[in-house]
Amino acid sequence: MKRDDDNLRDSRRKLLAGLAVSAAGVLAARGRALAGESATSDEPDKRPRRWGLVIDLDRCVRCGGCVVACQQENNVAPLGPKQAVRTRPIHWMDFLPPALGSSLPTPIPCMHCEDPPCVKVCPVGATYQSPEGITAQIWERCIGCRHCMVACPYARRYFNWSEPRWPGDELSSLNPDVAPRPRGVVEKCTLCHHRIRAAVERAAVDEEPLSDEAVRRLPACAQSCPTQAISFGDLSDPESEVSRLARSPRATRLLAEAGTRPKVIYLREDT
Amino acid sequence: MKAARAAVVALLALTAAGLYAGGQQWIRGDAVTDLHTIGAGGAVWGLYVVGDGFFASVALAGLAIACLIRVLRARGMEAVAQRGVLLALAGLAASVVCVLADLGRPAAAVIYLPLVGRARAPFFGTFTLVAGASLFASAVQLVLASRPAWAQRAQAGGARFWRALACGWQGTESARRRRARVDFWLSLALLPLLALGFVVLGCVFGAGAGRPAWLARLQAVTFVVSGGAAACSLLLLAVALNSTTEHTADTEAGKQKVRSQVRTLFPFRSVSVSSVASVVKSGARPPGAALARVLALLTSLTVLLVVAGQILALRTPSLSAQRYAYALLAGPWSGLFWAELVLFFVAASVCVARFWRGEPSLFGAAATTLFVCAAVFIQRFLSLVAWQTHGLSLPWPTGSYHPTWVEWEVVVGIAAAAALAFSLLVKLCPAVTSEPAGLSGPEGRGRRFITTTCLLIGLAFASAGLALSGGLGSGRFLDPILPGSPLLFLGGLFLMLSAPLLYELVPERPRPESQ
Repeated sequence: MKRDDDNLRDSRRKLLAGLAVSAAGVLAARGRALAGESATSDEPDKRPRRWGLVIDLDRCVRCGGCVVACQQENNVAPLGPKQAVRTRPIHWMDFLPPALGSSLPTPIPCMHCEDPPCVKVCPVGATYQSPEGITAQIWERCIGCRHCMVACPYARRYFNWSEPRWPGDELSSLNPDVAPRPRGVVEKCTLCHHRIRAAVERAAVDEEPLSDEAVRRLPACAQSCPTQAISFGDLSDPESEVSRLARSPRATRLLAEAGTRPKVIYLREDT
Repeated sequence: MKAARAAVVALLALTAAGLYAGGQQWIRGDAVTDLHTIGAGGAVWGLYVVGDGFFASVALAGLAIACLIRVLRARGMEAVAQRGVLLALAGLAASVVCVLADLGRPAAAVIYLPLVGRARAPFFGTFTLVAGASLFASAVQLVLASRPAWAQRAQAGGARFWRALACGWQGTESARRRRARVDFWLSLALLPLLALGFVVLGCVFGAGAGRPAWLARLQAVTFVVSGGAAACSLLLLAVALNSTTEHTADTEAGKQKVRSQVRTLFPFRSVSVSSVASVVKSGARPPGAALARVLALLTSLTVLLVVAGQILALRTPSLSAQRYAYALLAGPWSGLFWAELVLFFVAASVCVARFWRGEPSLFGAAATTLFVCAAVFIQRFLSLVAWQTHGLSLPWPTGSYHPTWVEWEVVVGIAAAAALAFSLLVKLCPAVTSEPAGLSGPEGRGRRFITTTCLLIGLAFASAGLALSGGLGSGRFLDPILPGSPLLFLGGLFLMLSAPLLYELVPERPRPESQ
């Protein structure tokens, strides 16, 4: 009987020791992985890009060209008269009623926050932050709970209340690089991610670094702006135009007090 | 009898109308609702989410009341506890249907939530703890508590159906002891789970973009307290409807028993006695009176919290909170806000006037329930919708929301189906107060081993599932490490909650005849 007890105690001891060793191994591996991550991000050449926008409110003439270009580029379906009356528009780029000390409306895309509340609340990972800082959305995975819309302090997300329809032969003129979204999912600005990817691939094929000049007017809104009020670029590159503009004394952010650290920076109007 | 039949027919008709409206939404999409885009003059969460919050909080509060009664071993209120569990089952099922009605892609939710649900999102707690575990726990409690009643029916009618449901209940001393143990320990274990579920729901309802943290917390507390009030009122109605079974504690023996239990639980007079204890103390009175006291207390507390929230919101530097408060006090939502306060006040008054000392009348209970439930529903509505239309941080135009007939019919249909389910369960699972049994006593090693093994395996699965869903402390919000880990977590919780089933249902080994 005593021998049985001893055997039992030994096997328990072995089991506990095994568990402890395994746990230590997992923790050590995890620590090494984290240390590796941080070491990589400290190297200047390998520093991940942080794409951002700068919108100069002094240059902006509020023509709405950016809004239309965005709709066209990203296959946003036009609304029927009923839906338009019921205030269900989808404008990835929109105009906010006067803010930031301006007496005119302010163009407002998704802020692509460093600490995005919409990503935290998404229950299925349909919204995520890409390594380059873009708050992206996997349409196929979205379950349509709209928690992200409630959480976004900028109200920059849109739900497809009905099946998108394109009148006449507009269907044939859709952009093949962007998938149309079905009914029941949330959609948002992607900073024209497909254009960024194409530019990065082109640079890789040409074996040249992706220059700031090549991306400055990359998104459709920036490209279409007649006064070049919208600039796009890498905020982690101190030499880029957006970084230079972000250091301007006129630079400000919407709802900076909310702590979301938006990557869309506004330049106030000159007074 | 005629009135009961008419009520059932009316509930069936309302359920059918709800199904029709749900079908319309399925075909034509969410465009048939009056939900709009936030910032473009609307609210994206409306009647469905309000209904979800209402039903879920009522259900959790009902289950919490049942657990408290069983932990405190207030046997005179066993019928109330049983009704609480039934309320939890019907309410949780209704809340799940409300969520499914709200989702843009419910089929995708059924696939993706168990596969890639993220533990850090509040919705994870809603679907695992509130919808999954609480629903399962209610079912376990109901099955185990109803076995004696089913066994009685089997003896009376001899039907195989009841015998199968009773699962071999023989009412022996050891079986009753096991029943008492499971009642106590399962209820005790469920209380923290329910508290966690309430916190998750309170967070979802209290938090809104740009809402000051203190206001979010205050609204979360209001959510919990008012949910308790609604559950109390519904239980009061259930007690009034079936008051004949609730008089166990009316007899002198019953009174003595309850008093002795209270003395055991609260030996020191100086102990601060909570509202829960007051329920037990008043166990010598009819349970309806005790419920009415708690209801009056919770209703008054809700009014206090709502008023305090408004006063603080008006004085806060946050512009969005001020806009929200003005919209409620004198703006487009003022009618509903004042109606909510009046309904709470009237309900509390009726409670004090009619039930403080006496037995609840059916009419009085029905009126109180109607007032409290309407007021709680409005409270949920204003807390959720008014913030979306008037509490935005940026100067977007203010919005409006007027639910369409489809939304009303769906929610009313869900409520009617829940009421039908509740009535059916009351018929199927009557409360039986069996002879009391102590908690201590000998127990077979085999039974203990099986139960403990099930509990430990469940705990291991649940811990692993939670850790894998949460990304093991990774700072990023990524997918679970292992696809399907939310399902593992849920499976683990189900296994843990199945342990009491095993403990009670494992058959007793026949004892050899003593020489």
